Amino acid sequence: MAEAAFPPRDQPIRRVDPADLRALMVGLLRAAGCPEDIAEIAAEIHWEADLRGHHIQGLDHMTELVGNIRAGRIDPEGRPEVVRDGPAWAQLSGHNGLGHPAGLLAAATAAEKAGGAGIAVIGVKDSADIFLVGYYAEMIARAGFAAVITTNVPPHVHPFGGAGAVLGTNPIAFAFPTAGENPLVFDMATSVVAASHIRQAAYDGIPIPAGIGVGPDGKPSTDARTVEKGSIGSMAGHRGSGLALCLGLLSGPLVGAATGKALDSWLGRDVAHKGLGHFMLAVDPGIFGDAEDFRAAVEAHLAEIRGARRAEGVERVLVPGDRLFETRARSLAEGVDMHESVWREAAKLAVSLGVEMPG
Amino acid sequence: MSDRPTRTMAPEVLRDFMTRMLCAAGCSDVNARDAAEVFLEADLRGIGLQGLDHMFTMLDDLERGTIDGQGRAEIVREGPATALIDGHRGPGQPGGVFATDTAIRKAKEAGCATVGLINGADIYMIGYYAERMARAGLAGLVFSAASSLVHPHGGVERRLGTNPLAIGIPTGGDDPFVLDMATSALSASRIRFAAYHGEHVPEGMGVDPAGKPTTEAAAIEAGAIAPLAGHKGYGLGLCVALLSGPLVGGQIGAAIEGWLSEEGERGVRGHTFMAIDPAAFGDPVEFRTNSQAYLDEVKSARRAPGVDAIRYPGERTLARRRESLAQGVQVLEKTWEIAGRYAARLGVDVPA
Repeated sequence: MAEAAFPPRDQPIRRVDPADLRALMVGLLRAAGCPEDIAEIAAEIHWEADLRGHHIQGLDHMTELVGNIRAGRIDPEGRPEVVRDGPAWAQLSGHNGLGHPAGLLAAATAAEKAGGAGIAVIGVKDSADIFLVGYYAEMIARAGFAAVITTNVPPHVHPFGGAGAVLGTNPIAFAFPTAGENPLVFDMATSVVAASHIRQAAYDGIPIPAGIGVGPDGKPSTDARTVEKGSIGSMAGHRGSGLALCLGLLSGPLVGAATGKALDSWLGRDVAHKGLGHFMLAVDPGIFGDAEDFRAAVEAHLAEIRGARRAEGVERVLVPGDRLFETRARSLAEGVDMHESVWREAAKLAVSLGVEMPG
Repeated sequence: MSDRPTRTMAPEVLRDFMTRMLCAAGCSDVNARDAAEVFLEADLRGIGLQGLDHMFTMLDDLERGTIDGQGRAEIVREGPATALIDGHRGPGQPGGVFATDTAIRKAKEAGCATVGLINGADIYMIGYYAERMARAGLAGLVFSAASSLVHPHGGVERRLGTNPLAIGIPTGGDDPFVLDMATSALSASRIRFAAYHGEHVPEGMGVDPAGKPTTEAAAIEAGAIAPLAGHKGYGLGLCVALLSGPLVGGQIGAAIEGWLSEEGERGVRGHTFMAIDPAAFGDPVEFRTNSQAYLDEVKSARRAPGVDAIRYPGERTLARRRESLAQGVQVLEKTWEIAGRYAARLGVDVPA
């Protein structure tokens, strides 16, 4: 519950037309050198993030993305391909392009192979950030399979007992088909908060609660700009720290990709550049029994959970994804609520690329 | 816990004692051997809560007939990369060992494998099976759906299990990396243990049957344990349940009861075992070198004040295992006393 106060809920908001938001994202990416199809694919994912109210993976990442293209860390024209595979697995190379197309190809390959073999494990190397990890898991679930996805990211996190950045915020996502319209989608960072929350707090100098981060000197700090240069802790102490490390192994060495400090070039450090790695796993529920029974059992368990007696002051017991799909529908109907600070940062980027901001 | 009186025993003596108890309680030789092996491995690691101390709940289940000591796991459905195993109501560990070895065998052929185990009882220390896969050179993942003891985030009534997950990964050294964690604020064993010692746990670990937050372990045992880290552990636990329950045809939620209930285990539980061969993705030797390099990097991070070393999952427990193998295994006197009572009832000789 300590996380409830951060990030603050009362930041200034501007309501933006969804179509304008998407056109802006495509415009920025095109201006940065992405071919049209890649710009569309990448915009789709950041747009979906903002629609879902998951603003830390939305428009706010354009500055970083364009910065990586300008610095030569991402080839805007790079396209992913399958480099080796078997019936139940595949290894992809992102060929140093944007992460989004690599993530989509990996998810599609996972679903296709799981459809044949019952299970599939897909590893991706030489890639870049895929951002909204839950989105790729959702794709696999919409194809009828259970999905587990994890990815490594450059080090922003210190291990349990540590005070220097060696772990990524290494997120994990799960998705399952349900009997309803939407799959169950859960994703989380293994850090105490997502690194992007720190970046966004730094825009306006919003203080962060004590106990979350340390500065570059390893000393505890509540100043977002100081912590941004230092590191944040893991969720749930040693368990979250162990989980982050484990996910770094799965999405790194296991699938033949780089991990840990080898990814330091992404933070602007002068070391040999290495792409990120991703791990995707899909399982066909039909391999062990009846897929319809599976969907019904998932739905029944969710109903059981939603029916639990509520804690004081809680309106309803939510299951992962409930709020996400509600927010998405509202954003499409009424407009997307964007933080003014994020909008302001995007406007700076737009000026530098000669792109016009909507209304 | 460390200041409670203990006795030191030769591992082989403890193994033999547990095997004889299990046989006397109705287990086949094979079932007794595998079950004793997993209990012993827990005691060797200093995880007494999962060792001999935990065997009593299984002896109760054998006596009640909720577990069939003669039940033998078999494959009922399979493909090149998948298998479904029916535990035929036998003890959990032999089914778990069989599922693990099946996953290893198939992953070495197909690159990866998923094996479901249903109709088996509790497999206890799930890290053991993940470690077994890692010792075979593979990445191993184990998911286990348990009976309801945990409230959802925002709720105060038990709806989820402590739903643990375990992941084992080979390293450059002799011992693998082994993460074994419950997705609840406290494991079921910790609550049971604290409850029977009348202890309190830190704040925020659970609620009493009326839904009020409490630190009294016995009240939480009767009420509900909190999920780990709020909504994150809640979501993670729910996903573990779906992966290990319905995915393989097992039940979850109200349909199953575990060893903490008055009546013992009930329902068709599910467990899922996944193995991935690093050789599919590159040179397995390079993989070990790279995974060790990452572990070393993390261990060498600047330490917070007062911290003597940064450790990775499995490091401490596997060092303790080596120590126990060399110098003897520690068993709590309290646990030994209870073991004596069970032995008397089963007509088994207690080692000196």
